[in-house]
Amino acid sequence: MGYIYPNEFEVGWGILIVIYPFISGIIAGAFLIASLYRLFNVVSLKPVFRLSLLVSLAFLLSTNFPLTTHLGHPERAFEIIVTPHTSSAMAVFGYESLYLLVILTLILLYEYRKQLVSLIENGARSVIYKVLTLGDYDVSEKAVESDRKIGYYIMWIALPSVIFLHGYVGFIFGSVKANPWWNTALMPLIFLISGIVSGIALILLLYFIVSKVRNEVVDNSCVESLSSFLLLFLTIGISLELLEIAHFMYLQEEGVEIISELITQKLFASFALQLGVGGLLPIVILFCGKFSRSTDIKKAVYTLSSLLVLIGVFSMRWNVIIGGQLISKSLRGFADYHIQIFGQEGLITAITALAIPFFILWVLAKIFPLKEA
Amino acid sequence: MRKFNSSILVILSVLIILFVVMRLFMIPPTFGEFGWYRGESVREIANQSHKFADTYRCFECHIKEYAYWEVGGHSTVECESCHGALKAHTINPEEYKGYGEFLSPNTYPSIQAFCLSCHSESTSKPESFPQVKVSHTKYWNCTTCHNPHYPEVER
Amino acid sequence: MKRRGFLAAILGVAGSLTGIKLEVRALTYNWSEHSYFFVVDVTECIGCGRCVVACKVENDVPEHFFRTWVERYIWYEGEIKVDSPEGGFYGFPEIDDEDVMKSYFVPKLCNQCENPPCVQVCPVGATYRTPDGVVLVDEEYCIGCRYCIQACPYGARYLYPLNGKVESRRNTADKCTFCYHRITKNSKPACVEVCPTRARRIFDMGDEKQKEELFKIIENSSIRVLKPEQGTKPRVFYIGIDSEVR
Repeated sequence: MGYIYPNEFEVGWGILIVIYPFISGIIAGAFLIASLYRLFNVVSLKPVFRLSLLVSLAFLLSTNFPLTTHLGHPERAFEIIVTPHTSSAMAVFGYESLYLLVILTLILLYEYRKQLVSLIENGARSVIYKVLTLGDYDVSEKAVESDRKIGYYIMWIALPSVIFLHGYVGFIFGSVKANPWWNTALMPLIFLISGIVSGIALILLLYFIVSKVRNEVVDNSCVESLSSFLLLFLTIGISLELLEIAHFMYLQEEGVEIISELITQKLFASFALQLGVGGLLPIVILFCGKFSRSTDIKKAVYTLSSLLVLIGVFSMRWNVIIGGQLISKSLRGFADYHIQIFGQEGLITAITALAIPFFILWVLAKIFPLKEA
Repeated sequence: MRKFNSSILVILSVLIILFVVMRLFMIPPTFGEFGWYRGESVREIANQSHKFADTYRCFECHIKEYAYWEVGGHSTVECESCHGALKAHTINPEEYKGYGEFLSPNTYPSIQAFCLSCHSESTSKPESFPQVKVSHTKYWNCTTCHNPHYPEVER
Repeated sequence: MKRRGFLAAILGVAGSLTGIKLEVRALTYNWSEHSYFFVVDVTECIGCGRCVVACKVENDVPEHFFRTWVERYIWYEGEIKVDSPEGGFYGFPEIDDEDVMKSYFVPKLCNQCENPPCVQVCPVGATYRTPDGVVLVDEEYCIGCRYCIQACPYGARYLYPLNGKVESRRNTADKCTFCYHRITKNSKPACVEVCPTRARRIFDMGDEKQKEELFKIIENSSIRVLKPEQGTKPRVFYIGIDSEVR
């Protein structure tokens, strides 16, 4: 369609790079829930505090997979920490994710030490627990209180870092001046908010699933707070996304024709998913669900809207990353993206990349109990 | 300090020191020679082999062609523009003739097609550029009247 | 034919007569003494595609990818059409010229920006700008993240495919180097060498004569660069293009 520069027929960043911000966004949302409980005293979120911590760590551990597998030379990936180019936005990633990994692990260790000590005697996993407690079995009140305090302060350090990590993912795209669809200062903010939205939605969904699997009663006040936060951030997020489009359309700068064609024709379906099915619709049903008296209806509404929100956020990543590359930099036409099934960046790798965090979460939950003793 | 805290501090310091040391060993030897890149890479690129030679090398042997070419209308066109990449030929003229090189007349279906690759009529071409209608070449072989090295037709 | 080429040709002829073969090349190359600028004169370009072919041969550029390509701009009443069939490799099919207001060919190549966004975004330092003004890619160090390809406003970069001829270059970013291996040995880039109408020319500011020649061109014609609003400060100057060319 139209004219594209001859080298542009190949879309360089495929579905794996769509999955990467999707995964890293969930870290932001999950960690925000954990901090809301621990740092901002939102007591109702207590039942999902540990789940949120484990989700953030599991998803952080999985961000590397889609990134490294999409590289032309994965065996050279270490170069990004050996010789990080200070002028490049992308070079930060290696250090930022290592740093976050350390911080999140520390938070987890301080949070769990007391319980892990109690688990040492009665299990085959006692070797793991001995290692994780670093041989300190002191569970006196004073020691436990000091753990709690240190964990609390580390979380205050971690919160801005997590927010920065995901804002920075948006910056990677927002700072590409060559691409009119990416080049906006709103991009980091949009990525951050939609990341938080997807994280909250996933926690809500996982909470329902975990309760169901373990035959536990769902804490209603916790679900209410989670859904309220979901509604709040979803409204902010969708407003920002609409604002971005309004901004493009109102400014009428060079490239506005091709952008409107992208939105209204080329990617119309996934835009309908992003803003309609995954945006406005969940806002409406979440809002209506709040008035319902039956907990069953509420549960169904919250489950459905969480699913829709996750789909919407995924479409948003798709529209930004794939959409931006479909627009030719000559502003005269569109490239095409065809996803393969097999191959380095095919559908199977993509599904693997999406499954890995859940597998890691499952392993983590085996080691770190979700419930306090 | 409690055992837990001190162990964590020890582990973290060991990891950081290990990382710093390993990083030093992993930096390529010529990295930073000129800037934030491998200095060796510049030499690698500069030493890539040529496939095209320079025009003056041709006239070490092809003097006759030079005599025509230098005074004719095609003197702005370098030899390899029509004969293809012939660095290998300048190195070993006997062994490598290079008749089938890209751009040479032999890679076109006919000599007419070869000449038309530049001289076919087109609205996009500058008006001052000599262009012929495709029909002109239908019945005529270009080289019957034109010497490609000296394209002007002598009357 | 310009004087330098003439002298070189004479040298060649003299050599053949006397039996002495002369190697005209700089023995040592000092990059701080050179600085390259490229001039594309679209009023001379005939769209023959020889530059595209020569570039592919000289640099082992794989099929469907281009370090340099030629675009054709066609003005109809009320609309502009651009095409570049296979980068202009086989030339251009003639258009029926009934409604064409004007049309010309625009050769494209890496602009060797003085403020290159590709170098800025490379996370590992695998692409860099040399002091003589050429942006290069280190194929032994590039991780293939493609950020530079996204950052280039001109579409001048591509990922060297797995079926490419040069093994070490596979899955790394590739682009025009002004034929760095040639210009550092006193040869012209392959595209400049084969251009039959001298629509493509390269000038070394380290050479007094070439410098004067470039200044004369700047003095006598209006020069444009592509997408100046990107702030990239290209080193490829265009003569005779309209603002619609981007």
